[in-house]
Amino acid sequence: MVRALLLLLIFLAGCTTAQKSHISSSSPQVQVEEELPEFYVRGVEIEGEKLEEMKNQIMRALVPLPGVTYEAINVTATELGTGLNLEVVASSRVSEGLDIYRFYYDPGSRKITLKGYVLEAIPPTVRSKAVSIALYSEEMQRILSENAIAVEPRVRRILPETAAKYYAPKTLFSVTWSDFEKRVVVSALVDLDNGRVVQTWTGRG
Amino acid sequence: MRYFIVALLALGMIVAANAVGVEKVAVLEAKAAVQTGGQDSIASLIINPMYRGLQLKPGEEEEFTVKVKNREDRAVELEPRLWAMPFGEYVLEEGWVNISPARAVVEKGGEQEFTIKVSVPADADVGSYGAQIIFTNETTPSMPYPYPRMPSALTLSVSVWKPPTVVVSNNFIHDRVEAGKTYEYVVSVENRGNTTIPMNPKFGDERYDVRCAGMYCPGELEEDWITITAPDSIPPHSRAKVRIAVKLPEYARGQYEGRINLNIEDPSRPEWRRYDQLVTLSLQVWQKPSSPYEKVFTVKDGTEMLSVEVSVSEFAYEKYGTCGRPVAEPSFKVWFIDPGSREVRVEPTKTVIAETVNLGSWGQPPWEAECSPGMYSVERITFRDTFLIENPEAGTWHLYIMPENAQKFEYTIEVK
Repeated sequence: MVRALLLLLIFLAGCTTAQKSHISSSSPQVQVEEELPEFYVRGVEIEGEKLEEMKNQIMRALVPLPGVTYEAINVTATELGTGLNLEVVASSRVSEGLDIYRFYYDPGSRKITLKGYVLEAIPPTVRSKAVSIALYSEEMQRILSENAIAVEPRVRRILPETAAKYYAPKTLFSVTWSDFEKRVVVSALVDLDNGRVVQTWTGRG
Repeated sequence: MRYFIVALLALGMIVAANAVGVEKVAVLEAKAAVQTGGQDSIASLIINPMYRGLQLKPGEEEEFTVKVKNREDRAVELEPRLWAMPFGEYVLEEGWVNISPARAVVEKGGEQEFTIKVSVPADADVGSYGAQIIFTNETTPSMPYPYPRMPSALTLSVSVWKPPTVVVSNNFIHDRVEAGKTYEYVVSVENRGNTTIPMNPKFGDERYDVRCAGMYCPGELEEDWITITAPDSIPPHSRAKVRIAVKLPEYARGQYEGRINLNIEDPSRPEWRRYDQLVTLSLQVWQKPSSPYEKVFTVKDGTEMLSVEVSVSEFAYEKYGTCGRPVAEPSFKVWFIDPGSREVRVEPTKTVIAETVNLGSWGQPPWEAECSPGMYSVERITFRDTFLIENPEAGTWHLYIMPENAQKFEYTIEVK
């Protein structure tokens, strides 16, 4: 039972480590400017115009949930091929969860491209609503009951580009129960606007 | 004589079905229970499928087909109808099931398809309903069962259910806590129905307890450690908060578990299905030791280096409490007493942080796996400090380790 919260918590563990790193790390760190949100870059040294350009692109590319304002943005830049891998961790006061984005910076075009994300900066009320909708679904009731799962779910935001492949090009929420003891993971893709589950998934390890 | 016994058993079955308080018993024809002949005369039929389970809400209906193949070398007359089974929660009412055609003659080697339509009335009670659909009147005496068995039958099970009126969030609470302190956890309960629902949370419920056996089982939280504050009812379309305060005594140690039954009378849940109203508390108690761990060891003459390595390792879920509330990182203080009874304090010469990192692919639904390639999760974190003392004095040494925020630690002493 104790292991049941593992996935959610280990993820938070990783995220928090990343968030703390700008405080205690001795690696190169550049504070871009004093304005909200606080913006930090560490790892590969980026300076001058290139840094400013990259920062502007990142700020434009971030998509916080409406109602969520990022308070701090930490960017870790590492070399990847000829370009840079940018891991962006954005935190907000309204949520204990973090939004993490991964971009690739192409030095040729000088553009960043979104390569991945894990978005958990979700206010408790929105999170609770997503879980309620998932629990209210007939199919999820059956799946959770069949697998006798009674652990705390995690909730992640799914961006429209990804959601389009599974339902429609709109923001959805993934509500996932991971029971590590039973090696079962069940997930519901929730459309908050319509209050319904649009996809379900069960995985066994 | 054998036929008489079978008839008596069949009658007993009907009486038994009524005796369990089931009013919705299908009308059974007594003649159906009378065996029409010996074993040789039972028609050889293949029923496909032989079992069908449906999940329907009150007011819903579902239709399916069943094929009956005649393997006799003669025509067989089929007259399907419901046959109550002497077990199960409820007996399926005859009026819920429509079978078409009602009668059919199947020629030698032929096959007949029947359509079964199950309609659950809007006022049906939630529960599990069962019956057999028999295609002939034939029975077989079936010792050791105290009732006749129907050789040509489809077993039909209908689970009538409703979505829960009450939704409970945060019904699993895991935390690392300290002895002597009080912690409060909040469980949110939402009533989505149109009527006020009573609630009476109580600590412990043996009906749902799964007892752990063995030396590694957690201890049980004691009732007088727990104070539950909650309203006695939840108005329609509203949320209520159940506050669970856990006051840990100074002597609490190790892992504790306990369950709270919210005792919510959800009209859409039969009592046996209310296990989702259980709130599980899983608490790991950390108690600061009053004295350091001591290890006495010997250093021989000519030793050039004394090396002590102390490490603490934890899973990420131990690092974080409920709702991601961070728990202090583990640490330890290390010092020595040398053979001359002098205290020796040294700074670590090497500090290691090691992590086990998982890409977490198996635990992700496709819509998460697709959007998070290359994202990492830390499963396990290890903090390790190494202390070196050059040319240690020969004799008896004492190693002291005082852990902080750590449930367990490891150490190695190396002399060379």
